[in-house]
Amino acid sequence: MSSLAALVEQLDFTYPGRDDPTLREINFELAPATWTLVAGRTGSGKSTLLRALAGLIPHQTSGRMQGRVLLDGEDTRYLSTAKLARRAALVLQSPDDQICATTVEAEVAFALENLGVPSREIGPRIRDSLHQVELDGFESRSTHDLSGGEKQRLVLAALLAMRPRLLVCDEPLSQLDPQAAAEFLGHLAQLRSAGMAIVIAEHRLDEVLPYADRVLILSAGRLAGDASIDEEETLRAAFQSAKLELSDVARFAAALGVPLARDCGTLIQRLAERGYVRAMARAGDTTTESEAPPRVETASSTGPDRPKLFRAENLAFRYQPRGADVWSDVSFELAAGERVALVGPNGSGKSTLLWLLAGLLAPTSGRLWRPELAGACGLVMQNPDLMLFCRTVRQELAFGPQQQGLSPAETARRVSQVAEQLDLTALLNDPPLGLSQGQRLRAAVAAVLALDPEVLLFDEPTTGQDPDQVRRVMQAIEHALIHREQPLGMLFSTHDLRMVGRYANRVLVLADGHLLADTTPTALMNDDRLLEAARLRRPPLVQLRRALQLQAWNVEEMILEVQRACP
Amino acid sequence: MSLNNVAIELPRVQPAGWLRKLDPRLKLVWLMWMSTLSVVVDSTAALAALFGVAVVAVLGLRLRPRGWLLIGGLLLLTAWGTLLSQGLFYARQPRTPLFTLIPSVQWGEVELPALQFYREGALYGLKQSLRILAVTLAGLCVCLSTGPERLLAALTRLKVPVVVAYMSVAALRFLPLILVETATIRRARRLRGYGQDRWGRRRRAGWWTALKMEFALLLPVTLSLMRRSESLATSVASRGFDPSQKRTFYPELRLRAGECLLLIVLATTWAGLVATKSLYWIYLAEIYYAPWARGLYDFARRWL
Repeated sequence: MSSLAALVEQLDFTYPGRDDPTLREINFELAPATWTLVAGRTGSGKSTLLRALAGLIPHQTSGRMQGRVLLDGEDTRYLSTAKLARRAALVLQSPDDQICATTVEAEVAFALENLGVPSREIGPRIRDSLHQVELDGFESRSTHDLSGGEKQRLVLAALLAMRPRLLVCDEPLSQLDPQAAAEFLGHLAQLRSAGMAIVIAEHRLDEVLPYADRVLILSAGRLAGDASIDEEETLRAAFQSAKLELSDVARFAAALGVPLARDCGTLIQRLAERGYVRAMARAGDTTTESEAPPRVETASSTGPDRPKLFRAENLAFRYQPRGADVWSDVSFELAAGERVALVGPNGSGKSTLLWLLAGLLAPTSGRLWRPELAGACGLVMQNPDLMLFCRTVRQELAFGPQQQGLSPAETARRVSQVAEQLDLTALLNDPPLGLSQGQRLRAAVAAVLALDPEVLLFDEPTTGQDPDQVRRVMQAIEHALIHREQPLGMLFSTHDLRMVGRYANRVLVLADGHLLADTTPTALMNDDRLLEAARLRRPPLVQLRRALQLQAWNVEEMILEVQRACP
Repeated sequence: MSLNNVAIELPRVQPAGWLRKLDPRLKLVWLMWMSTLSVVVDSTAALAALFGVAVVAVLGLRLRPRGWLLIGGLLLLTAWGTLLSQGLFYARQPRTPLFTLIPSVQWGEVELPALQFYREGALYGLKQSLRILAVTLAGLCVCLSTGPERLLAALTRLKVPVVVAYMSVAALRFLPLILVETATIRRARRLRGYGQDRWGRRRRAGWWTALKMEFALLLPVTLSLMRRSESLATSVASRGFDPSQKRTFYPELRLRAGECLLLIVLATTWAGLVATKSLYWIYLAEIYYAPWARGLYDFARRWL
């Protein structure tokens, strides 16, 4: 057995029908018991590299491969599927798409059956794997009844049963709430300690970086950087050369000239040592404490005289007449111009509430006043692909206005307006489902904005999306709002507290079947019990914001605020 | 009941009865037994008996009320549709009108015939619906009482090529998701004003528009399905699934004594009934007559 978990030499890979290789001259090696983060922009070749590492290229994905990948010293090209599976395992983005059995036990057994493990040995190995991911006693549970986090842990257990030396994870956190993501990363950390090499590609850098030993940076298919997490300067230079943003925390630390720490606690300690914490506390004493976050105010900011768009009184909803309530006693109002975030754990009924507000479901009890005009409540669903059904982007954007009975001239005006706002003008004649992931999200949002809604409901805009794309969409919406005569109300569900801080001026916390709180982002971030109930965790940037008592929410404004207070 | 409800309900039927405990190979053999016999037999009594067997099997699922509602709805709709269509449009002779739905109309020189409901048509419709329902219920019983992984094991043991077996099982696994996604796209369409007037009230689209819109659903559903299938294929390949390699099964499939006996009964009855009916067809077609088989001809005429 080789002392290396994997060795990649001069790897080139070109997909069929393409002239340019997706991967070019990739060289690196992976030692056991290490954690490697693969970073890069969308389309940089991260997923292709991970598939090559797991041996699926060239066995499952066709294309032209040059160079070689060695797992335990053996070339993946000559290893059978079973031998590959014993060496490297792959976790994908959506657990739902990876689970093939109906019970937890059968799901874990599947891999062992494929490897030809004798039936009498499978039972103990299933129990052992489930124990490693804290799913003991789940054997007979239906896979349909598991939460998102439990499903991803089940996928991990199914892979661990094969006892691979290398675990490759392709954006495994994208569907998980912060608590479930932290638990998943904790399990990976234990596996690393037990000697497994972990390779992970993930957009949520703030959450993954504290665990990483090393970062590989891909840019246009090339390895643009390969740095240890401790080589701060090399790491920053590599990120910069790949036009990639290092995590917000790293940018904050760099701007203040503080060395980047593996965890946020150490960084806060370093900031304290350099006097930033005390200086900010002094500065905080001299300014008026304000709950309202100092985000850029727009024409649509809320005010007491704004018309109410929604009024919910003691709403309750259940799917089955004799089933349990998804939630009950939900009462709130939403005024024009308000930006409200809806937070809560996976399965707390956030999507159900948005669907109900959109008019797709009726409450089981309680009263709801909502805009009744067709198209007045625009809903962007969690999977924007399911909102795109026309042949071209132009038809997609025109669909809503046409259904509203608008004249062709007015329809064309709205199409060109929203296309411009969401940077889709050049793509108007393209098929919407042929666009990139971020472009599809923008097309879905534009199709909803073309209805000229009074309220925009947005279901988990960050799930499975590149943060850059989400930021772009949210900025486009903000920009679009400025030019509206009638302020638009917005209610979006999210697990991402940075989104809450940046884009919301109010937060509804839905958990345990009730609306636990109707509060401000600042109050939520400061309330440990509320965060725990909503299975939310303060992202490192929010921890920094809290420690330094800052008012700003985004990293650029936070840096400015500190530099202003501590010149 | 909406499509979405069916989709949510289907994987949650969770039958807990004795049928779930049976060896999946036995269930597949029984499904084949039901499918062939429902084509071979033609008498109302025999078809009713097959239907009865299927109903007993459904009872073995110990469904929740919601499951019964789903299956009851399916039974009613199928029986109603077949009875009505055959009763109204039965063209063979003799036929006895039971009642007239629309009397004949004289239109100039042309006389449009009356639309009548025929007894023989209704009986024929009843037979057809018994045929369809017996097989449908048997298929549902097998699918609902057997996890995809057990079905895969059984199909593989019955020498069905692993690729075909795995495709069938993956289709079963994804069926609820396809239904959910189709319902979601319909909702997205509705939210953008389709099927509503400008005040948000329901409005019926013209049949051509409705047809076009239904076809438009195919693209996003198919693409989404392809993406999911690709992920699943990647996932199972990463877990060592290789159709060309021998695999083990957990728990191992082992036929118990009672199941072996049942298998013998199924095989014997199947062979006996198919042979008897074949002999009878040969006799009817005047190809071969065997005096010793007169009792069998009589049995086939009365009961098969």
